[in-house]
Amino acid sequence: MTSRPTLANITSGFEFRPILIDVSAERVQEYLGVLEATPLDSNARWVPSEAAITFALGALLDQFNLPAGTIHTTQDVRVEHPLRLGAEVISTARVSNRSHRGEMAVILLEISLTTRRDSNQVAMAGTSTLLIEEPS
Amino acid sequence: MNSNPVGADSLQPFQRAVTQNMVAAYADISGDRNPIHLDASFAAGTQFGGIVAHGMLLYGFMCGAMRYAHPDAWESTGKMRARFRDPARPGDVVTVTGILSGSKAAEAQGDTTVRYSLECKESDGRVLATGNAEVTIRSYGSSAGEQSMESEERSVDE
Repeated sequence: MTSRPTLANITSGFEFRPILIDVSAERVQEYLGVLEATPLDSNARWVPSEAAITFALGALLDQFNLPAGTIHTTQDVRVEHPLRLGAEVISTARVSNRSHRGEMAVILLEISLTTRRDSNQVAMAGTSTLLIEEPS
Repeated sequence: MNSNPVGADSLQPFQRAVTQNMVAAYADISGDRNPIHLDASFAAGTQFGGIVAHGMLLYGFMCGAMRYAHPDAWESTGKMRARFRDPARPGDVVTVTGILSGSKAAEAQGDTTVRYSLECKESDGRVLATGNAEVTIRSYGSSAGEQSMESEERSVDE
């Protein structure tokens, strides 16, 4: 049993607690290995955006329960400034919109990644669209 | 160095076999342990009728195709917008293809932004995901590009 909120009950405008995420070269290599993607080479400096957003989404799951039937329908990510491997990255997230489609709620989740050193400059940003069953 | 210079009209296909081990490993690395990805008996009772892979796994494949083609540019300027249309399942063989859909001069003089239209299909023809991606390829010696890189260094230094 947990006291974490469920995404089904989170309203538009809700802001999640900022989280420090691990973007070490070792973790990124592990991620790329799962995808059987091209590994980082020895000169690599930057974190692939898909890894950074995946880690940020995963870290968010420590803050709320995702209903088991949740469907991820779209994902946007853009790099504004590259993130250095091993940087201290802060992920902030908010529910920017919540609407309805039939018996489902459509939730837009916006994530921004900054570094601890320069928290005013967004390095990467992403938007996820999630469909969840409305609570009865 | 970009392996897909301006002028190449398609991405090298990125093909991977989705296995239950891969889905479980993805659940571990991503932290998303939704039972629809891991628990066969739970998943059998959902609208999908069985275990499905994470949408973000497909997203990773699509980005993998872009990163292979434009390794530096992807990591420093990449953008991707993807729509997940049909889930992949263990046993599926997934192929990402991408076609150059446009290019334009970027803000920095000499740089070029190229756009691709991507499709992620299963071997039976099902379209699992589609997307649009772009990267900006910097010209060597571009003063604007150098200034941009300096800015990046400042923003990410620890």
